[in-house]
Amino acid sequence: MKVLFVEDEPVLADEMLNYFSNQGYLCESACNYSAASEKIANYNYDIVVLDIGLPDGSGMRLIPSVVAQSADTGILIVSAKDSLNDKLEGLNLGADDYVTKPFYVEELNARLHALYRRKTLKGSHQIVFDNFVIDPQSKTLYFRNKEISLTKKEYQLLLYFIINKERVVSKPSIAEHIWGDYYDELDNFDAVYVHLMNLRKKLTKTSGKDYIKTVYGMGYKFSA
Amino acid sequence: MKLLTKTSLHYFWASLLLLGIFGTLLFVLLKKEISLEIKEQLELQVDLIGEKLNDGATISYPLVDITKVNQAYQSNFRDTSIFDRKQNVAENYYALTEYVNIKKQTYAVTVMTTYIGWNEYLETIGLTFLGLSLLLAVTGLLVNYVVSRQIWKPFLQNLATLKNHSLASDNELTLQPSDTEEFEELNKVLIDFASRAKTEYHALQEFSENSSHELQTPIAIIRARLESISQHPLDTESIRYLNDAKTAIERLSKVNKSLLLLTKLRNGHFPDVQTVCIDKPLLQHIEQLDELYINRELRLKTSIKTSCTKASPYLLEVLLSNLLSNQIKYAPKSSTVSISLDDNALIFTNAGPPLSFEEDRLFKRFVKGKQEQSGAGLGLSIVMQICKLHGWNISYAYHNQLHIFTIRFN
Repeated sequence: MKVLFVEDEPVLADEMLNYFSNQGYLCESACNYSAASEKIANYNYDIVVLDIGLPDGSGMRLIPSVVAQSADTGILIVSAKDSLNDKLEGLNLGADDYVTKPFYVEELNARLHALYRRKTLKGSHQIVFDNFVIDPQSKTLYFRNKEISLTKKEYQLLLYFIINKERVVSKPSIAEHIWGDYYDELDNFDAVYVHLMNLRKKLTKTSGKDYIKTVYGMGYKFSA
Repeated sequence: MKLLTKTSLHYFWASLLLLGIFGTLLFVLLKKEISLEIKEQLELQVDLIGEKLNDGATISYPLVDITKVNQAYQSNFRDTSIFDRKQNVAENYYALTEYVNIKKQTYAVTVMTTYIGWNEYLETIGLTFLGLSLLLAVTGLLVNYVVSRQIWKPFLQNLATLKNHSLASDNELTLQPSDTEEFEELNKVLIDFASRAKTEYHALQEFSENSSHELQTPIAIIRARLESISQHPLDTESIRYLNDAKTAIERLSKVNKSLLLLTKLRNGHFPDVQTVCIDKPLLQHIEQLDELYINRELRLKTSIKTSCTKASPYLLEVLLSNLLSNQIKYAPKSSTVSISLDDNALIFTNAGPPLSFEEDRLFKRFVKGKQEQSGAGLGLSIVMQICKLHGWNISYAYHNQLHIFTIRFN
């Protein structure tokens, strides 16, 4: 997966490049409008992650040129503004998704993946780990061609873990992924725990291997 | 007391005082003038009697007394009283005694005339004046009412306009013009005041919005770095410190997001308003929160009918999630919570002890219960603003140990 990160904030650019390179993506970055528009004009990307608040222009104006270059390129807007207007305008211009700062890189990764599957792989893609196969289209999990029944949330959780494998994922990150960031003042970490334990049991029972490790005080880590 | 009543009352007391003074003055002057006139008349009478005496006539008139005296004195004009046989009362009289010399004999001639009923005069004048002052006051009052109604009309209308005017709205303050100089001046001052207050309000709004924006990126950086640190093996102590920092940044992030939303709500621009059926997202949210009900052993009673209205789907999500999490958070373990929706209203009910603060502060920002640690107390304030924006009416009641939130769609 070839990704361009347009982000003017060096620390955030560094975080994203660091994480996504480790995930095996081909990453490039641009820290302003002009650098970004040059890269967009010269190269093809599977996905462009676009911060719209750039020092020398609105990232919004880059969307049409990305679309013109290749209609298959997924565009994900990142904004500090959390503005519905921006979101609607961006989506109208041809962006595919919208994430508000501050975000978890795991969440961004999940969005990138979904976008990549949808736009580049056109949905025809299966995720494989060990003897497990996930079919994202039917949202089902198979172990040696046998379907393992998962609840909706267990499935979401599994996908989140697989996409962010070998990464310590914190409880708030999981909670935000499953429930969204609407539930402001709700303590849903207990619920995270319950779903996680159920998923863990199912995976262990089927394969005899414990994929999800608890990292003391930090969260959970999925290793295939 | 109304201004009109006040001025009328003042007017009445002033006219009473003035008329009192002038009544007294009138009485005193009148008395002096008439006494003088009577004295002159009596003097003339004495003169005429003197003439008759000189002619040698015998004088015997009623109320005239002539005595021979040895010596002449200063003439003397005085009040006296004579018993009125007919009326059976002592009547006051004027008496004038003058000494006349006729053919070397001094006579003391005393003439008298009735003292015109001064008491009656006083009474008549007093009553007339009291009547006059009353009449003046009443007339003044009537004139005031009729004229003032006309004059005060624009003022009262403007007062009503001002009562409903909100600095947050985009509408400029428009006031009824008046041909009364003071009111026109007041209007000018008010319009100027409102526009200045509005400018300041918007500046403040912009400030809070900008500061929230500016905070988002540093928060994002801190959070990203803390997550990166979490990827490394750490000792127990460092983990504890790191977790405290993460919890704090989580809270900061949520507060900041809520504040950002609140400023946007007050700006009131939500372009995604469309007809939405509330039951669908409501049921979805309830399903999403499924395990939280189970976890807290809450019995959920629902009565949800299809109900569609014009709303921003985005804000509706925020509203529902806030009310639902509020309900789950505050319902005591193993209690019953209920949600009902129909065309008129959306009602959330949960049990619980009464609020630890005054009811009217419930929807205010940063208000939370005594024991509460998490959350900034912005949720209900956001709910309130969303209702306001859609023209819905939200109310809270505590009844039979139940907290009831009712949103009425109009």
